[in-house]
Amino acid sequence: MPDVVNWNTPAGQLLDLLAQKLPPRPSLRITVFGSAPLQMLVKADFLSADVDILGEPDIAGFVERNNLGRRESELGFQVCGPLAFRTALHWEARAVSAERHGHTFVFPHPWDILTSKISRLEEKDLEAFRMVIRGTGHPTVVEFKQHLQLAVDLYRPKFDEEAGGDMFSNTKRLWRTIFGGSIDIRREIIVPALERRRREYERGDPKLKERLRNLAGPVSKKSRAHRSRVASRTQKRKN
Amino acid sequence: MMFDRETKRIAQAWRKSRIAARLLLRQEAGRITPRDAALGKILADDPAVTPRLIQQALDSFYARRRKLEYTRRTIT
Repeated sequence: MPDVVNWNTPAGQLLDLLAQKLPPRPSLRITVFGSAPLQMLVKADFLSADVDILGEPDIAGFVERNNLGRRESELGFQVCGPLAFRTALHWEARAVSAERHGHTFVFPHPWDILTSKISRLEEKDLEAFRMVIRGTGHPTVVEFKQHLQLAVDLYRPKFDEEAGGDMFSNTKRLWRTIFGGSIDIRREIIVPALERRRREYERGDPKLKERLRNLAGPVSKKSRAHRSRVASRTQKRKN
Repeated sequence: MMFDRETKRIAQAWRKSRIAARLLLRQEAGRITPRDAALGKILADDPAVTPRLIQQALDSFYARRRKLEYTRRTIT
């Protein structure tokens, strides 16, 4: 993953402006997701309709008051809650962060950004996949399959109230369009992921308790000597 | 405090499971005494001593042994 954040991009400049305008205290931690991190980490001319950020609740009001929200022709912020960014588990460990004017901006790994785009998978999301693969040579089919295993929970059935695209059909479409092949999601993503999860939270072999109950083995020298002493004492008493 | 009591309970389960694991290792080494066997029965009936905790204890003992062997090899 490129660890140099390019601030000299439209999204970078907007984030810089936000950092400048924010009061220096308290120091905020703001996560940038959507296409902006791809523009700032992979390809500077990759278009981004807006800059999606996750931040403290009062940041939405600040963005609005300072006229930094989404505007018709100009790039603006869309402030979201933490539920909006759904991607592979443990994404924060793969993210890079950069400090600007006393505030910390967190940029998720491009693969995590791509994963979050699968549930929608419009043409511009497919273009993001093409751009990342062209620019970095990754993820390969194998790499992305393993990565999606970390996002296995996104493949669970949706709630009745939940809108949005279908992960199953979108993943199949992604494979056909980007990786040039088909994928059996249950066999190649869900089953190996659940197997990994089961191994990582091993319940232990139930036979261990059985072995514990039936402990027996060669008697140690010490114990053998003790037994023979007891036996001879008993014998003497009898005599 | 409630939290302390809970922590103590978990620690006890962990300690008993480590004893259970040591008994299994003693059996492997052929050094079981009648006292060990009796203790093994008590621990096997204890619901706090779970196969998962025994396995964790065994893994930690094996890992420690391997680490000691590795250190010894590195030193010599």
